[in-house]
Amino acid sequence: MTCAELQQGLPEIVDKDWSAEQEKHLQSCPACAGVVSDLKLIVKESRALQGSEEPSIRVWDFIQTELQQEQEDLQLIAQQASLLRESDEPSPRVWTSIASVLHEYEADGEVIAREARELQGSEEPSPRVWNSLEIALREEGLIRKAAGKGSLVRQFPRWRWQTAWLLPVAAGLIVGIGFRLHRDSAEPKHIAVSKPVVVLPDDFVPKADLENPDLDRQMLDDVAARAPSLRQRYENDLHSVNSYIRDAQQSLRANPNDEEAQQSLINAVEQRSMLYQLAGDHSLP
Amino acid sequence: MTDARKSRGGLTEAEAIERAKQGDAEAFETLYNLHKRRVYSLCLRMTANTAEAEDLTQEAFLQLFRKIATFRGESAFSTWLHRMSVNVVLMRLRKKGLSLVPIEDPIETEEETPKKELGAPDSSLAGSIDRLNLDRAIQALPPGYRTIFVLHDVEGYEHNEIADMVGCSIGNSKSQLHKARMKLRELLKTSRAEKATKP
Repeated sequence: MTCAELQQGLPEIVDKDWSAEQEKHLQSCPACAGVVSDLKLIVKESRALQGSEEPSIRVWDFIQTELQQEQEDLQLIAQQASLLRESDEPSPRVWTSIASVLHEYEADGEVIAREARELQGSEEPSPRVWNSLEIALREEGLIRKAAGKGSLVRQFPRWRWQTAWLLPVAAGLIVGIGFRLHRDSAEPKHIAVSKPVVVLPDDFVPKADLENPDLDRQMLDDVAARAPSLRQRYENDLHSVNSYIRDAQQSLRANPNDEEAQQSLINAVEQRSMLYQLAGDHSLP
Repeated sequence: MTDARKSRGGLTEAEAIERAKQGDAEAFETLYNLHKRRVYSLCLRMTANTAEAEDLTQEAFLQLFRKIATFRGESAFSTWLHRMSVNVVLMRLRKKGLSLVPIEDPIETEEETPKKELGAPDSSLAGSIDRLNLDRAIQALPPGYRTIFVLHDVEGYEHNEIADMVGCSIGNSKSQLHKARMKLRELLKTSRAEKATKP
């Protein structure tokens, strides 16, 4: 082993031990032996330096002062915290937050109250309710005519109670219309007064016309007020059923005895009636 | 296991620790007196500056007292305190921008090779080292060498612990330690030679 080779292993030799080969070289090489000896001495003496120095008294004085200051600061903080807990006065921020929440609740409350008021009287009974009532009143002789000034039905929208009559008097209307058309027709007709299709009630008042633009408009306005998105649909359906009625009427003008036209007119009138009933039904969204 | 040493006031270290957790000022002083030399010596040798060593000692103990409530006794109190002190010193050295470990120099200088010492037995330290000279020699070491040397040979940390604390490899730690020792040997020989030549 050469000196250079031994040098490579010096850290292990100094800290731990050496091999036989290293031992042999150290025994024959004073220089390397001297290095190993010096390094081991340095390590040994250095270990004795641990904790050998004493700090000056200033060090503890400073630490003590700092610790006392920190203790005092902590006590002060604790006192302040205690005072805050016992204080009746919350932070202004607390009230600001509460006021903000209350304001929101108030605003929401106003909206709810407003909408609640709008709900007042917003629910309407089905036309069937009035139908039954009116029938009962007629039977008792308390009313003689349908819708008019001073009538009991005044409080209800005109188109609603009128549409309630459409179905039961549909057949009667057909006959009425047939008579009217026959009378107004320029061509001589063979008036074939066959047996009536329907037996009309004694107090029946024939309608001037099955189509009533004012009533239609009123109905559509009512639908729009409650469900704007459905207005167009109702208008389209109303337009279709009115066209249906006009076609049936036209057919009946041509031939009052046309049973198909009569049935078509009945169907059309029924559809119109149902449309009005649906519009009057408060199940609309 | 905590040290069963008793301070002058009669408190054992374990008792002092428990009282210190409650904020007992006397307990703080007891712990300080039990460990002040070790902490200060470490700070002094790592910084080679008395004023800075005192400042770091104060900081280390203040940190200890602020954190003592978290000491759970899983390791020896002295080990916990010592590690805290080393970290305080290393942080200070990093803040100063000092390189804690020099870059490994692959080329050995001639002076590190003992070949030229052949036939010169008086060039060795002759089996004795003056402690004062050793202190001075350690202070004269470059900061990186001094850090590794103090942590290993003075304070007794293993290379893997040093590597973790300082942020280097174990191989680098071993290499720097060897170089630090060789440098110290050189400084001590020079000092002895200078004394020998003085009238």
